[in-house]
Amino acid sequence: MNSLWLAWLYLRRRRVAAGMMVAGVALALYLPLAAHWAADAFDEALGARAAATPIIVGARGSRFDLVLHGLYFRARSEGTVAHGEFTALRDAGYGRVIPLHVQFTAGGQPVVGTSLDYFEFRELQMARGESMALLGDCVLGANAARELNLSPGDKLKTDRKNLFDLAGDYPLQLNVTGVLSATGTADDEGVFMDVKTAWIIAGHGHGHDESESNATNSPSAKLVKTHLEITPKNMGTFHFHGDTTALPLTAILVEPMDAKGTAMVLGRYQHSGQLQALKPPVVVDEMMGMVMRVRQFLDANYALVAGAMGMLLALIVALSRRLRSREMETLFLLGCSRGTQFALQAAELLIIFAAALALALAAAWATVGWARDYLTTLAG
Amino acid sequence: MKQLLILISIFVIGCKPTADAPAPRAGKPRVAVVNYPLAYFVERIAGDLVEVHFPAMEGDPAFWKPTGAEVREFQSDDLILLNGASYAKWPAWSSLPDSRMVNTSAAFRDAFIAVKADAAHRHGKGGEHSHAGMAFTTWLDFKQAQQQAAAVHRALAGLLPTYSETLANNFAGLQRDLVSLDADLRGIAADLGDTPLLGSHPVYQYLARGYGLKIRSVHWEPDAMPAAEDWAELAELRKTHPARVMLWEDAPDKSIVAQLKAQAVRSVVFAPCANRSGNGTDNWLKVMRANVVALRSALGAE
Repeated sequence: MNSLWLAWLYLRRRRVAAGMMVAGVALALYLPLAAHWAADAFDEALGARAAATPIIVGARGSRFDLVLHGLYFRARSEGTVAHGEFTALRDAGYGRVIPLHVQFTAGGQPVVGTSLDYFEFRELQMARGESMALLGDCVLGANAARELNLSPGDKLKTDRKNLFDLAGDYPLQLNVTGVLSATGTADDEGVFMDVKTAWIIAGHGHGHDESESNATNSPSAKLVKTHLEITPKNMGTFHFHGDTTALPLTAILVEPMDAKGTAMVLGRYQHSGQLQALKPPVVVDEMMGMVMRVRQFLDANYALVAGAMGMLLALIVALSRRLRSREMETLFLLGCSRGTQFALQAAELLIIFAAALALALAAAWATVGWARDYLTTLAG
Repeated sequence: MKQLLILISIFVIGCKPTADAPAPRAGKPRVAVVNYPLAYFVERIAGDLVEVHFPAMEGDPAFWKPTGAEVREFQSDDLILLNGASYAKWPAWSSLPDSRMVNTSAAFRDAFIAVKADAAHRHGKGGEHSHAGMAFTTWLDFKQAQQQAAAVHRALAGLLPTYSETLANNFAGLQRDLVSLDADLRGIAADLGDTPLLGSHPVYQYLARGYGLKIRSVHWEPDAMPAAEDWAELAELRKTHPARVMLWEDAPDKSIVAQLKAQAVRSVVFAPCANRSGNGTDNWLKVMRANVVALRSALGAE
């Protein structure tokens, strides 16, 4: 105990040198700790969302892209799945089936066309306002509402895909009816609406304003229109042309009610040339396997750095002993044994390592805590 | 230390606000329907086991336009029964939970009758509407009504698995009534043979097909005296389709009845009964039986 006290007093007298040693050791410990914890948090977040999403059906192509699209609304351009496939799956009674249409953005946030079942499936709760009810209504994720500074009752226009496409589709003005509670998942970023509203944004459905049928010499309403708006007055005129079973979805989420349902859904697409059914937990495990391999490489790197740091510390201790040889001699003459001198120096190292470890743990914890939200949406 | 941090992390992440969670509705399951025939089927099959949600709607429920608040009422229901065949346009403009919706006519969707585009028209105080798309009074073919009742029974059995026997017994009773109606109408249709009939409104497509009736329709309303051109159109139609009986959705004004009678056309009410009857006492089955009786009496008069 006396050795620790004397060592502490010694280090207090040499604050700058002690501080530099603590910082150096802390930095060497911080990097592997933060990297490990961040990877664990990412793994945990990705794994939890994947585990909560038993099956994703979508167009054939990159499996990783489809899973990240279904889980994190990441843009995907590898084809679509017909709405008829959704109704066929639903009518087959395998379990809960949820449509997804994620192709557009509004204020930079992903526009998620889906059904009310999605909110039940993800256990999303309304923080403010009400659920979407009619065409043109939307519900915002917590972060989306904060980023866009919008509340229930406000309006939000969808983004044009191509600003220079003058003949392209008009943005749709959405009515914000509610804001979801924060979940710490990709759902916080979404602008949710009925899939039919998403189809109208995509131009698969349209309505007619009274002004369009007026035969006057005034400029066409289309020429002065800057955006589409669905109102109680024109809502009844909105319709979809052609076969509605052919309307596109970008993915379908399936939550089978039992193992048989899972097998039936997976088997249905086993030999399909156009569609694939994936189990997100399996695909995410594969993705995380790659992350872990990178982590193993980093671990080897950290081990080398730690070795170098250890040797450097050994050198510093050896040099320090040489510099302090007269001090040690004085202590010896005062009656301090060699063992006590060794204990003093060991205590100094112990205090430095303990302080560095505490600092590294605190810094790593703060870093991962601060970056957790970012990590959970990193795949998006 | 790490365990402590993990515990803190789990606590932070796990703390979701629950104050605003919608409270589950206490009491009976609530079953929503889009028209009265389905409401009647639910009432017959489930009785007091469920609460039927069929809000008051003026006019034909097929053209009802709910507000956002009214749609949200449907969102909270345990089961939403649709008629299908594009009956009730409003679900196409609304957000409803797919997992709780059942299309009761899905079993015969390949047999739907397409209707050509027609001029939009207005019923009383209701807004303008058009019958273009699919013919939707599916239940006027009582064989189709039996299939819809079966779909309602299946959906209710899924909702109330512990009452399967009660539901099955009640369903058997309903099916007996529907079979009886079907047999009665088939008998009348056999007697009618190729006798031409008129429909005051294009709502009798499935009735005509189901029982081989020769019905051609105009666009008349029971409470509005047809214009001169409408009478001229009728006269033109009767040159090729010499009908002497016109079927009405509701009792027409006396003046219309008299003018039709002057032209040797008898008015017979054959109500689709898509909405609850105004007096609140006649249920769907009574109305259908009255339809059959009225048609038989018209045949007797012929």
